[in-house]
This record gives sequence, C-alpha cells and structure tokens, in this order.
Amino acid sequence: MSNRGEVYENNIMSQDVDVIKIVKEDILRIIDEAENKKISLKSIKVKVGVSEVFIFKAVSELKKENLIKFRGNFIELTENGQSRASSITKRHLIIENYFKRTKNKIKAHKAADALEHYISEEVANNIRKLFTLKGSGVPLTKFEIDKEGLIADIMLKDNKLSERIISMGIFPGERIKVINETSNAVIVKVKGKKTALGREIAKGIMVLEYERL
Amino acid sequence: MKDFKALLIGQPNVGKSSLLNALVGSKVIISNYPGTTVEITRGEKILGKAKITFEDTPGIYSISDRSEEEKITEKKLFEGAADGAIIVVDSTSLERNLYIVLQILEAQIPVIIALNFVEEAEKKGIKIDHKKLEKILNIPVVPINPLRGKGINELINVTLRVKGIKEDIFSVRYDDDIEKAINKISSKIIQTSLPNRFIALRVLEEDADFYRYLKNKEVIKATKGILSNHPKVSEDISITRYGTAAFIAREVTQIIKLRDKRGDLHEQFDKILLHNIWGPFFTILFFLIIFGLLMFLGNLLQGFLLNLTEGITSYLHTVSPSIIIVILAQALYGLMVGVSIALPYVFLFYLFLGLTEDVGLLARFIVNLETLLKKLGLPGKAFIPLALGLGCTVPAIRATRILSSRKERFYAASFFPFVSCSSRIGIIMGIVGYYGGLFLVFSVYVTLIISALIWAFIVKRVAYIENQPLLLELPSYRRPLMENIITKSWIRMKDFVYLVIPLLAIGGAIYAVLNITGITNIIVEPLSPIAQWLGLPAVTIIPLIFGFLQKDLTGAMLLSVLGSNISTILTPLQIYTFGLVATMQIPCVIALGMLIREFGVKKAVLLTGISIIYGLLFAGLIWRIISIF
Repeated sequence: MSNRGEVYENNIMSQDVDVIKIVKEDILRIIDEAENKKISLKSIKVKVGVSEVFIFKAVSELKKENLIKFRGNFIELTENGQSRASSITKRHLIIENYFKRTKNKIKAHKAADALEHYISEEVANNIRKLFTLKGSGVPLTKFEIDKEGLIADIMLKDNKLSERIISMGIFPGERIKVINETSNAVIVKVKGKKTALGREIAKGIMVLEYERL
Repeated sequence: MKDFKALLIGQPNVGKSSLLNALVGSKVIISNYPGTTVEITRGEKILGKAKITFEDTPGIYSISDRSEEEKITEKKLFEGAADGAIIVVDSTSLERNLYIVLQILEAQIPVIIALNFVEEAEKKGIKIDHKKLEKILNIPVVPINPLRGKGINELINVTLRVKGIKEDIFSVRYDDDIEKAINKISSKIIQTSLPNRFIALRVLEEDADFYRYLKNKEVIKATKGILSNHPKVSEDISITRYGTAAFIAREVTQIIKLRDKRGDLHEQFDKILLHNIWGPFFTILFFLIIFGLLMFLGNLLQGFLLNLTEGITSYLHTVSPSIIIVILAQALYGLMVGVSIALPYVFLFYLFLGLTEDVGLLARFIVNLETLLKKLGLPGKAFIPLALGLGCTVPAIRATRILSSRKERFYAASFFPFVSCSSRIGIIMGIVGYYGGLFLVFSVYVTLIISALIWAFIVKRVAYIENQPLLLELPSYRRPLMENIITKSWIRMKDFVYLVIPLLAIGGAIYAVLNITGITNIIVEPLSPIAQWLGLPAVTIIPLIFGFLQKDLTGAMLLSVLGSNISTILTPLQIYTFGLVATMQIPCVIALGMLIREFGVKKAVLLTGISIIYGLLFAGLIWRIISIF
C-alpha cells in the first residue's frame, strides 16, 4: 500500500537530528556563560558530554548558520549567535529559578538542563512570570470561576496521582480555567479539554491569576 | 506462518475500540466514557500466511494505574507476549497523548502511532505533520479514520513490517542527576525482559510494583545523595516527560487559530449540566424520564412478544397432558417470561445507557452524583456498575472492575441487593403493583433506599473504605453512532441472554418436577418459621426459594401456589413484605456465579448470605413496626 516501511529504514538519523538540536543549544549557552565569551572545542566536549560525532556535526551546523565563528583555537559567538544564546540562557535561567523557587533550593542547579530544550516558549514565559511573583498562588478550590489562571505548582503526596494529572496535561506553567464548581469537584479547562477534579486533588493544585502577571 | 500480536493502547475515549472494529470488523465496545472496555476484546486478521491478533485494552493516560482494569493494560504491555503496541493518539490533544507514547518507548516496546481524529483537529485549526512526527520519534505514524475506514490497510501493512525494537528510537533525556541515578539503579536490576532504564525510571518514580526487580532496595537510598537537588524526583521525571511530549507536539503542529464556537456553546451547556443544584436535579430527572419511557416501550414490546409466545403454550395445552408435556410447558413458560418481559426492558435500558455514554452525558452524571455516592462511601465512578445493575446484575458485577481497590469493588457490589435489576422490577411491578397498587410500589422503592442507607451506615463503620478522589476527563459532546450503541448494548446483555434466560427455562422445568413429585411440601415444612417471621403464609416460601434460583420465577410461582386472586388472600402489608423480601437479595445463581468469579467463593457466599439475612431481618422488622400503627 505504501512505502512507509522503507521510509523508516532510511531514517536512521532521525534521533540524531534531535540530539544535535539539543547539543547546538547547549554549545551556544556554554559559550555565552564562558569567561570572555570564548571557549575551546576541547572544553565544549568536556562540558556537553556527548560523543564527538555529535559535537562536530553541531559545531559545523552552527558555523553554517553563522551563529559561531572560529578565532584561533577558540570559538566565539557571532552577533546572531549572541542573541540566540541569550534567549537560550534566559530560558535556562527561568527554569532553573523556577526549580529553585518551588523546590526551595539555594544552590544553583541543573534541574532545568533537559527541560529547557523541550518546554514551550509560552510555558517558559509563564514560569518566568511565576518566578517574579511573590507567593505560590492559591489552591484551585479557592480560585475564581471563569478567570484565566496559571498553574503554579502541583503539590500532591501520591506520586501516581501526580503523574496521572501531569500526563493529562495539567502542568505547571500551563493556563487553566475553572468552569464550574460542585460541592465535591472542580471542573477545569486546560488546553481545551475539560476535567473534573475532586476537591482533594484541586486543593493540591496551586494557581495564580493570569491577568495579574 | 507468521503470527503477530498487537495491543491497542491509548487514553480513554480515543477510539481504540472503533479502530479494532475497523481492523477486524468484530463485535467490540466503542464508548465515549473513560473506562468501558472492562474485558479485553480481541480480533484476528489473516493476510495470506500472516495472522495478526489485535487486542483492545482499557484506556490509560500513563503507567500510573488507579484501577484494576488499568492494571490489565500494564500487565498486557509488560508481562504479555505482545509483539508491539499500536498507540491510538487523539490529534486534537497531541501532547497529552504523546506522554504515554514516550513512556512505552522507554519500555522498548515496538510502537506504531495511529493518529485519530485528524479531521476533527483540522476543524479546530490544528494541522499535524505526521511525517515529521515519524522522523522525530523514529516510529511509524499512520493517520486513520476508523469510522470511514481510512488508513486501516496502511496500518495493517505497517504492523506486518514491525520487526522488534529499533535501537535508535527516540528516548527522553532527563537532567544529569536523574540520568546518573538511572545508571546507578540500572546496575542493580535483576535480568528481565524489560529494559533496565525503564525499570530504573519506574523505581525513581516510586512505583512500588517495580521494586521487585531490584537486587536490593539499598540502591534507592544510595541515589538519594545524587538527587539531593530533586526533593520530588518523580514529579520532575513526569514534568520532563510531559515537557518533551509538548516539545515534540509543538514541532509537528501548525495551529491556524479558529474560533471554537461549538466549544463555547458546550461550555455554557456544561455550566448548567454541572451546576451544583441543577446538575444532580437534571441527572435524576433524566433517569426518571428514561424509566418512564422504559415502562411505556417495554409494555408495548411485551404485549407484542407475549402474543407471539402465547400461541405455542396454548397449543401445548391441547396436547394430551403427560408428565413430559407439563414439564415442557413450565420450561417454556419460564423462557417466555424471560424473552417477553425482561429482554425488552434490559435491551432498551442498555440502549439508553449506551446512548448517554456515547453522547458524553454519562461522565457529567458521574460528577453530579459523586457527592451523593460519596455519602454512601462510594466513588463517583461506582455509578456505572450501579446503573448497569438497573438492567441486569450479572454484567454489573463485572463492571465494578473500573473501581480502584478490591475493597471498594466488593463494597460497591454489596449494594446490588438494593439495586433492582429488571427481574426484580418485574416482581415489584408485576406482583406488588398489579395486586397492591402504585402506593405499595412506591413504598417498596423507598424502603429499598432506606435499607441501602442503613446498610452503608453500618458497613462504613465496620470496614474503613477509602475512596480515591475524583479525576475524570469530561469527553467533548459527540454525535453518537447508532451502530456502536447497539453493539455495546448487545455485549452487555449477552450474559442475560445466554445465561439468565436458559436458567429461567431450567427453573420452570425443575418447578414442574418438584410439583409433580410433591417434594415442594417437604421443603415448605422446615422453613415455615421464616414465613412466620415475615408474617406470610407458609406456601410463599416456595416462590421465595425459587426466587433465589431466578427472580423471574418468583411471580409465576406465587401465582401457582396461591392462585390468581392474590389480592384477596394476602393483605396489602403482606404483599409489600413479600415484594421487599423477594427483591432485597443477590438476584440469582448466575449473579452468585459472577460474584464467585470476581471475588472468590468465600466472599461471594458471605455477601449472598448476609444479604439474605439482612433482607429477612429488615422485612420482618418493618411489617411489625407498621402493624403497631
């Protein structure tokens, strides 16, 4: 019927495409964070910690896209590269700060390391807004009906329950709206899908008013 | 001959069952309510030398089971001998659906994505580049439309080409500390068919079911050091996985913003239907209307079918009466009762229930009745088995599987003596109503409700029952497909047709034998104290005993022991007591058999015994109290 199968066999590089995207973002950020904003290829290898093949490919792509330039043994950012790197670094910081804030950790940490490449721009921005605000929001049970809110945190003891809720798209940084409240449940709309949450669950979901941000 | 076994996996309500229907054209349940595929349905497709078996599974959002039926899916995935999984994905909410895809890929199970609701998504302004999704995940992605048969052949062809897991499929990268912890745990895992990385992740996510794969649990403590910056590792893992799903969804989705007018309308509708006061009001009103309709339609059908069967019985009466003929006539009579009275009722009821389910109303009803059920110590989801119980108790007992714990399930099942199934409604209407009037019918129902409340009050104090909090996706309202509803109703009433109706015939025959041989009198004698306690004539013991075999026999037996002018023999109070004691039980031996299958002999016998004693005690006390006034 189709040659989909063959398409598959020829697509061995697909995973690599994604890895390279991540490595490229990492390299830009590492140069941005480096002293004097320049770094040797060797240090990149140490810091990124993936196989050389990926690094070479990433570096050559970055060069082709005119985001980095070589100066002797060192790599520097071009103007375009600098602006791209700044936004990546910012996103990294946003998420790192978010984790620091919600997890109460003083030490800067790389919790955001993986997530930064994945989280959507909007959610990252929302997290940044969350970070600049005081307090951690009100429980969903106390949130006004029909107001747009932002999920600030999920605080539930049951791990499987948290996973279930997250897998249903109810996720920190995501927008949420309370449609209705019954004596036992809160009906919310997230990403166009409605879910009925029991009060015990709703109590553990912290929300901030969206307009206030 | 090459055999292939593929599991159909996906979130509830994503179209797994309709896909199975399209793939093999077999009879399967398709539903718009999360969690109706209680038993695994399968179908086979033979293509030349190859045979593919497709198995439908209960919907899951992630590997985080909350009920026994979800455990079925996980068992099938991780312990079963499946060669691969076809994950059905809802295009209208891709990122949520990709979560389970990423998680199953972590388990190194060959996956094919079947992209469903593509047209619906396009109407909402969402366009998905499935070729790009294929590239990113490095697994096949096939857009399908099971209702129109689109993409089905392609899906079968792709399935045939699956040969184990590829080494370079997409895998989620977690942050460095988590990755270190994964490696650490991976080195301490007993060799299994599951990949170490997957087990390590489940262990880090504190899924106790996976601890048994560890050589020792010390390693969990050892990872605590690495993870000092992750006080909530399990949540960070889910967040990263979801973030990854969201990232992939964003990469492959193009959103052309269209205003969702229908969504706005539905939201307004939900505001009324899920209102604190109006919601429960409309729910109860809806069911009252359905019952009214059932009585009306049921009567029409019943009249028609009775006319049909009457011809046969009257013919039998003209034949010279021999023992064989008497037995045969009684057996036929039992059969007739089942076919003409209970069958139309059960079928129509399940048809209505299926309709509310597929339209999307049922999930709303559950939310509305949650408060009420919670007072009884039951979760909102228990509404499904209880509502099914208004048709036939046998499939209803099986449907308790959608509840989360065995204790909760057994407790829900203990309410079936108070939830009248069609046969018991037959007693209440046909005997109590016909000979005693509507007021007595009403009294029996009220008494059943009160006795259920007292039952709940007692049991809740004896056994501590913990309910899981409500967490229910409300499906969008959809136009139902009549064909699906009919198939579903049929599957639900199969037990009734194949098990309960034959029993009626057998019961009738046994009755005739007992009557001819005079054994009935021997039974009546030792049990007369029970009749005395109930304030009933001793012979009424016979219909009550037969009632335990099969409830539909009760009415017929009562008529044959007392004659047709019951209203002159029994006082209204006696009719009421008889109706009450005949209904407040586990309805028949088939139901008992189902209880044994689901809960084991000990619990089933315990529940049946207790319910009989409770019913007898209650009915005996009530008539004494009433006679005081």
